[in-house]
Amino acid sequence: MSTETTTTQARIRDVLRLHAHLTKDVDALDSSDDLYAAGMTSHASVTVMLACEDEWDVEFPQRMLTRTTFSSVDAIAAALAELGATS
Amino acid sequence: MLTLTRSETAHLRIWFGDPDRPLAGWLSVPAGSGAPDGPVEVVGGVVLCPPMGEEGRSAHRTYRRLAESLAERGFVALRFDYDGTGDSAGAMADPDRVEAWLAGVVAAHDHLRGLGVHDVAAVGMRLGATLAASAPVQSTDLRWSSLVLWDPCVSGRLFLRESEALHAFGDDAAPEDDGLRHTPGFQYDAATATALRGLDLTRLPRDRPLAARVLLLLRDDRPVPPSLVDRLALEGDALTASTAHDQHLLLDLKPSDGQVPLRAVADIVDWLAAAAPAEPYRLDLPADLPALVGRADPGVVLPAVPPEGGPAVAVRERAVTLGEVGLAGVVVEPADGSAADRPWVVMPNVAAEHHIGPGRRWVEFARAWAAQGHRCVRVDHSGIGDSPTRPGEREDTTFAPEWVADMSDLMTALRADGSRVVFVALCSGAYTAFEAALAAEVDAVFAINPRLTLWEVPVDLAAREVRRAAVVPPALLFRVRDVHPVVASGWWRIWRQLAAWRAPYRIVHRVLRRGTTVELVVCHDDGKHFTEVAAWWPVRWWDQRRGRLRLEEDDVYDHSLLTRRAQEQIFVRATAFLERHSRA
Repeated sequence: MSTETTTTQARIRDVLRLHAHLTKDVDALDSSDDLYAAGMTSHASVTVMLACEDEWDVEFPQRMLTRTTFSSVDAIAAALAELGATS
Repeated sequence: MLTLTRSETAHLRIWFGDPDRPLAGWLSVPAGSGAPDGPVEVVGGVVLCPPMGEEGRSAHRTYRRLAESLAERGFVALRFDYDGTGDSAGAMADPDRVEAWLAGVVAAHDHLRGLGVHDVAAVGMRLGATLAASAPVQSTDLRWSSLVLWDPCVSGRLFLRESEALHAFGDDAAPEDDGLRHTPGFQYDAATATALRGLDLTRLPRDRPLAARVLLLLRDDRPVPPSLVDRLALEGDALTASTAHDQHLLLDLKPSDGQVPLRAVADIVDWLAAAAPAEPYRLDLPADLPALVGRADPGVVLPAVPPEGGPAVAVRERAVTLGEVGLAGVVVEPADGSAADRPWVVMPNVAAEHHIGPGRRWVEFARAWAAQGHRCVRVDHSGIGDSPTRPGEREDTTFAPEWVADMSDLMTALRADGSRVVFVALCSGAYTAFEAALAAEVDAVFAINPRLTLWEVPVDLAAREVRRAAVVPPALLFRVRDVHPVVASGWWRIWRQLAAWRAPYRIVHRVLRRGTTVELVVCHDDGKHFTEVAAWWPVRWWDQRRGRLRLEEDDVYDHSLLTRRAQEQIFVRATAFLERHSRA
């Protein structure tokens, strides 16, 4: 895993820690773990989306506004990468 | 004049604005000061601009409490529904939505000024804040004395994106390629989406103060856009910023589970009261104010298109109180009075939400059916929406035991002249429809995703013995459910097979035996309560064969009816149901 990927994932975890209201410690989750199964609600995922946009200064296009885009750390990282947002 | 008195407040039901497209509102004034017919003593007026869409449904109770709290402090508060929303005239599909919503804010301001209020303030939550702040741009005569921006949407575009994402991230989302923007329960067309982009707090004129005083309440669990901070900093010393306490408990839960953010309500009332004049002044509410409607009032006439399409037909809509407790209802019927011999179509509120139904469909369905010749009443249970709370009972309690008494009251009131009654009801509303049908004569029940197993209710309330149509699992299972909900659910399903007398279908069968026809329209999760207990299969088969029961099970009907597909299909089915049972 590249340093850039590691940094992005760390920042995603910071966002999740603040906004996802998970029932588990975010650091104990694997990057592929389902965040909804870890307690993230639909409302919390919207906040995560907004926080990611704020953090990386991007806007998720409408086609990305799906449950799966924010279902795991890996999924969020992939979406950000697609938008050209790097660490 | 229709008046409800709650605590220290009198609420007057009003229609105002353009008589051809009247806006529905509640005017809350200090009780005991002459209201509703005499002069009242007030210290100012406040327009309450509600959030839009599902957030508006969630905030209804909060706005009612805010209006009461303001009236208790001497304000006259006007809470209202924008054009095409709530009980107001119009529909979401009409053109020029954003323009009409802004015009509604201006009309509310002008209405209070017309009553003689000296200083008019505004409180707006979410998109309501965006609209309240933007309205003065539309009307140079509009100046808010104070303005509360309560968890504001920075822009209409952002509101729509958040709402859309919430819908897409939810359990009920299904891709729909119909050109509409789908949010929970509500849909917006492309023109409205475009117009919403024009609503933007950060782009409001920088050389014009938003109000003499501005209170900004922001959530502390969400990022704050720097552009909003920059714009509001221009308000200088007029700006007070604070936390929107407990907003997550209001808006991050289902409308049925949301809690009134009492701390925020108190903060707002205190802040507004701080600038109020020490001495109240007299406000004369004209007894013949044409906008006031009530039981003896003819109400307002609205155009409505019948289900089969064609030209609009005039229907009459009026607010009523029903039964001993004074349940708040809205009657809509053909304007020519031709429905007097038709059954009442009763549409109870759902869970703890007020009487507009999911996505405001109860309003739109009822108007369309009235255009077709039916007479409908959408009604709030006691302690919910705009209805009063029974003495000693709690407000906002879903499946409250006193709802059984509400139905008894309602049936007595509606059937006093021998009228027949049918129900169109969803979830908890369907539960009370069954309660009504077990206690009185009901022609037919159209039950959408009914819940007769009272898991959602505290065990002491669930087991209250006034209930006839409730299936209450053993108390032990409630305790297990608190710790292991999946295990409790599994045990319950096994128990139900063995203890068939606890099966929800037994309730349906009892209703059928009383001569009521039932149509169950359910998603799979809700349907299994009625279909999976083997002991009842032959009975159900026989009930269906005799034509007394119709059952459709399809996952298109999401439980809360928040998707457009479900809403449209329910409309078609319920219209056919009424045609079968209302003309008989």
